[in-house]
Amino acid sequence: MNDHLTILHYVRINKTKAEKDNTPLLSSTAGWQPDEWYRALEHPYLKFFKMDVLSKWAWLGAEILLSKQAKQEGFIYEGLDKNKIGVVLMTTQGCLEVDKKYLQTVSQIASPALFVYTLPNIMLGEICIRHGFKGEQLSQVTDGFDGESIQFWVNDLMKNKDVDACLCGYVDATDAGADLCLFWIEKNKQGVAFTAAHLETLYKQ
Amino acid sequence: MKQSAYIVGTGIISAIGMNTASCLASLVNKTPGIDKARFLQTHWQDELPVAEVKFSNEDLAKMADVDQQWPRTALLSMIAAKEAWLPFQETAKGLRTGFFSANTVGGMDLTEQFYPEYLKDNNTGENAMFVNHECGAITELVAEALDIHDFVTTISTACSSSANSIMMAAQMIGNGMLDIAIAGGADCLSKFTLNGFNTLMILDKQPCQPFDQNRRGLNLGEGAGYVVLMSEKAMQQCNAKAICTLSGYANANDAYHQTASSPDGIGNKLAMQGAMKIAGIEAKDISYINLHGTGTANNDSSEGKAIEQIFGSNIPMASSTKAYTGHTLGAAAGVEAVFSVLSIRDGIVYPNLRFETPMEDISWQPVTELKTGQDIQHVLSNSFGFGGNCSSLVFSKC
Repeated sequence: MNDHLTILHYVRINKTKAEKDNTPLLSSTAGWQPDEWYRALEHPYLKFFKMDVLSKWAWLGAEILLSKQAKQEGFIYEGLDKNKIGVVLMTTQGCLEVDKKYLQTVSQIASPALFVYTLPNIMLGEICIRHGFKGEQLSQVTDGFDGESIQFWVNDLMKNKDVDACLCGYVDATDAGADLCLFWIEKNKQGVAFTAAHLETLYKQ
Repeated sequence: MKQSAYIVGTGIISAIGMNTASCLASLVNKTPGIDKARFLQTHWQDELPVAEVKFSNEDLAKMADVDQQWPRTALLSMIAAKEAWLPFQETAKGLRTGFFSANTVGGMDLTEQFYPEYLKDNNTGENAMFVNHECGAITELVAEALDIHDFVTTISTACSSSANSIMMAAQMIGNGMLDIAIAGGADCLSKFTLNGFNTLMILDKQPCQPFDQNRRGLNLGEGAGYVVLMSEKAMQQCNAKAICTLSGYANANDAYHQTASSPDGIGNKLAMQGAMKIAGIEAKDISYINLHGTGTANNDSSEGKAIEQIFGSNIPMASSTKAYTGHTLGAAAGVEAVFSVLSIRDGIVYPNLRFETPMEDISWQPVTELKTGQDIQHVLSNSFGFGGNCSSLVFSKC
């Protein structure tokens, strides 16, 4: 019960910047669309192109957050029990972009390909299918980035619900761009303490 | 040592009958309940057949003896739960009783009626139309009316919901946390589900043909099904007679796709193997499999392959009763738990209606004629849901 939780890694992407652990990612990525990021990552995953814009950004954010420094080194969760890795994501606009596109198809032939993305929590599924995570998962619609809320849920999962590590944060996306801030939390490690104030600082800096 | 969970009673309402006896008669007489929608108001009335309970909300409310403003799912739930619980209600005094009820649509049917007017003028509409929108509200209404308070919960995991509620009930009885549980689930037809499944292009425009090479999809249905589980102590106090036990259960997830099962049925296989392991039996001990068998290309193929992997060339008798009742979603495993219990009690196996052509990608075929006089020792009942949420239950002769 006395485990202390630590922010081991974070990724911050918005319209003007893209960084991981306080270091800029690639160069001149400002204004990049998800497909440009996908090509830069050089990781073949064809299902990516079927995803809605929210899932694409969540998938990309997770890919960047979870990759070790050099890509060939693999992922940071290696050695952990994937049944005990949780995912907690918040969003504001959810899957509104694909909701609108789906609605346009309803009068003709309702599109099954768009329909399956008309729930914001599908982004959790895309990440878990990609990485094989099978721990507790939660997605919430909040008014904006809410460090208190993220801290509350992740803290509960990791202290009371048998979750060893957690991918958490905020993904808000439209066709115009994304506002994304993801964190990787583990127990009893050296690093930045997992507090609402630190989450807010990393989001705002 | 875990206590056994004995099944002592059943309650059901579906498109083929309004109680256990009438549903069983339809199964035996090969009378399916799939037809044109009469009560569901839908654009697709002439195109998409459904397995509707053949009564209006007003009539259902009279049968259930509750307010007719209840959502239809709650009305169906009340009728079936009452049938299951009534024989024991008086003698069970003092025992810890739980109500485990699954559903997936909640009060959506009423919300759908409320919204069109409200969107035109937000001063119109009665809040009675949406206060019971949430899935949990359905369970609470019924638990209150049945006066069950010791433990009440709602499970919503798509098509495996009711299997998971029965599994949880058996675990709580097994661990001595409750003496009695009424467990299963309910779901009514709604525009929301019909249109959603139609969008996924998995609805059959004709009566469905599970496990047939030329299957075209599923028909949605509605209903409710519950079993009453008791510990030995509760059975003695209630002077109840065990029909069978719930000996095994398992839930697995193949985490493959948002709506489809993995092609080789990993989750299905894990669920079936897990349930048999807990029951302490081997594949050869299963007498009958009540298939999930929705009639979609994907489900029947992956379920069929998973069964082949587990049972090899000795496939037990197997059939899908969804050709009778349609796919009742959150109620499906409750409805099929009742059918599984009756299969053991009466020594019968139900025919898989409308089967014509064997599937090319599996080596076995379902039972197509009613089998009577069988010694049914163990029934495996499958329920596989969207998101790969797969559950299997094993019912065993005492």
